[in-house]
Amino acid sequence: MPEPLKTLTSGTVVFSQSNIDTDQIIPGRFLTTTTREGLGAHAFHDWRYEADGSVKPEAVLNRIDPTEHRILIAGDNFACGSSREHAPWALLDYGFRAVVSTSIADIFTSNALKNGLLPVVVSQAVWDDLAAHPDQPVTIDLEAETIRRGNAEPTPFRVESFARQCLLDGVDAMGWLTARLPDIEAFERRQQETA
Amino acid sequence: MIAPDQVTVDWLRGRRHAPQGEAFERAATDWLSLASDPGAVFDKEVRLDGDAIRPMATWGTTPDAGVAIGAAPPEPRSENDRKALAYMGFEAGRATTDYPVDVVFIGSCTNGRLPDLRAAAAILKGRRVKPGVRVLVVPGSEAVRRDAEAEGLHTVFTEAGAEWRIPGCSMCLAMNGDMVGPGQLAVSTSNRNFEGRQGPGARTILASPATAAASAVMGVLTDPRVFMSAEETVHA
Repeated sequence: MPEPLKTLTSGTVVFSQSNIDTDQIIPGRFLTTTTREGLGAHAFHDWRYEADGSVKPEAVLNRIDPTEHRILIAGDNFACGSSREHAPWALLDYGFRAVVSTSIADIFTSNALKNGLLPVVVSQAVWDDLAAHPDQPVTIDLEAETIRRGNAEPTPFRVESFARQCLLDGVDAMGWLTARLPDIEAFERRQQETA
Repeated sequence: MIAPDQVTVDWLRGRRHAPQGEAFERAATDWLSLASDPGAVFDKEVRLDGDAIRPMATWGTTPDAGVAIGAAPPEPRSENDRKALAYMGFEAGRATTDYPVDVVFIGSCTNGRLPDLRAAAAILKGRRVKPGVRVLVVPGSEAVRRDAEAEGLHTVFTEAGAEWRIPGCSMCLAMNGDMVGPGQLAVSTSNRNFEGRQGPGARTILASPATAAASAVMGVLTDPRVFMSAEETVHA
């Protein structure tokens, strides 16, 4: 179950190229797992490791402390390509909690929201400003649905309302449903009594 | 989306999982009613002349980076274009039919239907895969595999020197060990050519099953029509 996400202030990682596809985020050969744990080691695997498995020390994701860089600022059309739930799993397991782009692929967006990773779509102007200041923390306020660089003016963004509520509560759709079990059971009892 | 028409209905009639008998006729009437009314107005209309489209193949690392086979990749217009050309080892102005192909992958969910396999088999029948080229043929489903084997297509492929495999994702995304080696050039009928998609460093050209089969014979990306004029062409 993801931790509740109300506000997040964190350093960022900027991958400015457009069309970063899900094969970059998590190559197909790592999809044989059915659990999420450990997938972060393979997030952007071929950007981080040589063909012989040795670490590319210059790769950003090998240099930073993931716990202090929880927001990925990515170029346009982020996470295009194959549908694979492993993409948000890998990003989350690496340590990301939010992805910011000028557009994010539909299937990935849906997968991300169901798994506790927040996709934030912003205008080109806002994106340019964020990408130009990788040294400054970014604050995402999900309750207010705003994103802000440092102490600059916050900019509004939108997230589908049910997904937003799940993120705020730290539940997935099933968790949201099971939290209502008493109501469901009361409803069932009433139905049986009136039957 | 494509408007359902009589061709759609004829194809579906009698198929497994399609409604049967009277239920099918009701469903067909319903489907045909979904087509746009005559005189419908659209925001934008694009007219494509299928006869004018030559067989296409990709030169870059996104499915939309394509040109007619024999044409050269265009001058790069963006950093992405330059990066794609560099990754593929291609040059603007030099046709991608110049480069030796290491692997041909025919199949996947995208182009592993029975008509796709027939198209590839029509070209490979009586011919041999170019020595040194590895060719995998992977039907799109168990049903397709059975139907293809009933027609003897598997024998056409194996006699030509290709591998006839069981249905699965195979080399489409290099998940099961079917991988294109680092730096190797593949002609694939799958639907994505991203960097590393078919294995780390793998270079992928996306093309049709007929093109893939022709390329397997010639050992370079090849317009399949060179084989089609001389003989019976593909099944309808």
